[in-house]
Amino acid sequence: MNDFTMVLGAWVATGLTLCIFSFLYEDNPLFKMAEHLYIGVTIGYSLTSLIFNSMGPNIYEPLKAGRLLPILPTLLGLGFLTRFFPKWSWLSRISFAFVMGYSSGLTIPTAIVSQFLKQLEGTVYPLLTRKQGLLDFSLPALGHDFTVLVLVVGLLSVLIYFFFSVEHKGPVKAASKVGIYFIMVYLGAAFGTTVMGRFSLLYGRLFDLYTYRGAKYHYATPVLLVLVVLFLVVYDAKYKKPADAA
Amino acid sequence: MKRFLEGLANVDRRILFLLVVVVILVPIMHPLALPGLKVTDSVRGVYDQIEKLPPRSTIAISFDFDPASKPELYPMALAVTRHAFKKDLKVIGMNLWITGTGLADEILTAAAAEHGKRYGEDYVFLGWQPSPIAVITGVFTDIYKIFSKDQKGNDTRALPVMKGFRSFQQLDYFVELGAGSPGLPHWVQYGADKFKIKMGGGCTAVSEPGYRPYYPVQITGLIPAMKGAAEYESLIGKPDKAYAGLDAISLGHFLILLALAMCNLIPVLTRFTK
Repeated sequence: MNDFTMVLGAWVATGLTLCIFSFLYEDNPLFKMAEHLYIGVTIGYSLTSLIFNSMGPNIYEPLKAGRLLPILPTLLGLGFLTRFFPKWSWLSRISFAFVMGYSSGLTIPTAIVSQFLKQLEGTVYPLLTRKQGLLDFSLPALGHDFTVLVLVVGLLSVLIYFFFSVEHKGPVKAASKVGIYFIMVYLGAAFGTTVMGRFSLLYGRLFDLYTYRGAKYHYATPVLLVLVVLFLVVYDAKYKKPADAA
Repeated sequence: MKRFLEGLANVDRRILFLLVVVVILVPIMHPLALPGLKVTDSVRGVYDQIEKLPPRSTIAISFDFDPASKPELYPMALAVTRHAFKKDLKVIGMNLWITGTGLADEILTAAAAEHGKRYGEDYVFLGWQPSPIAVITGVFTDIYKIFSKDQKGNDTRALPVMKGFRSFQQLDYFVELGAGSPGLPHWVQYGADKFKIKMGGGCTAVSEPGYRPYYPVQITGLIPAMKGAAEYESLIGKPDKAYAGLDAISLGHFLILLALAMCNLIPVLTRFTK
């Protein structure tokens, strides 16, 4: 990468980041421009990749070499597009039937194994095997047992909470209440990790903004920050209605 | 006092945004090196598998993320790739997210350059193909039917790194680094479980609680987000961006905890204050 492309890349990245961040102040044309550009670039990039990396080598080149097999999947794919033409839309049913049949055949057996039986194994396995040996009553061994116990109690109580065929009273009510607490712990953990994820993303952008502040990148961050702030001030003064301000 | 508390409760959200920016920026400008990073078993689960592979074993990495999740996944992807090259493993790279193709290529190229690895001989980047489930089942049956050409347009069969390699069933280890769907559950369901190969994973923080049940029976390890990446960086002895970012994340969490505590305390205090 030469210097010019590096600096240009830094300016584009910084400018678009600041435009997106400007939404935190208020909705404005800079944000909208960056948002539309993001969608346009994504679709453009995806489409060209699809044409040159997939359709080219998988359809065009085999056909050019005289291999006719790709015609069949191509026709099935084109079948989806007949949905746009009412007269021919019945053809799309063949394509849909193929995809449904293929996906169901592939998904149902593997889902039963991966998302159910293997998960069951993951819960039961630690109960049947004690890593530290049967007669080990040291602190780590007991700690492991406690973890397994929490896992099993959590699993059963949450399952009971979602079991609606029996009225929730007596021991079932107590167990389902324990289940609620486990669900709340899960939601708390999910919220905590979501916060961590969002901070990581913010860190990534701010790190780049900080990197692009220097002379090496021709002061991209400070210059563009001033320009974005100026734009927001002018935009506010010129176009903001009194009702918006309230 | 009451007025002050009410003012605090109704503070402009933009001041909070500014506070968050300050809290993240301070450790970037002045690294604090806060203590407390401990390598967890799930991260070690991926590291150990790669570490014990003999040289010239074949490992595949699927970089299933895009620029939107770059700060979370890029550091771990770089760390895992560096580790593989450091161990002199043959690396097959690919991705299921079309918009992440450039990033995956960049990671492989950067890590390869650091370790003097050559394209085609030590590693290959297969790129992206549509229909993720078909791609996953395809690479486990006959990789050349899915990737007849690599990302650069070379004939995949002709590359020395692919010599004798027919499908992912021959892999010594597989690592999936994913930001969502298609991602880890797909690789586990249609690949690792079905064809019984060892795999490890890496994911965003949001996905972590959902992916935990796969460990340790279905995957040997899980690298969760930037924290996991920082652990991996410390394991390979090359602290980098994720390691440096932990200070910022810790301070950010502290700010959120403080805000949560204040939100709960202010109504109580207001009731007892004149």
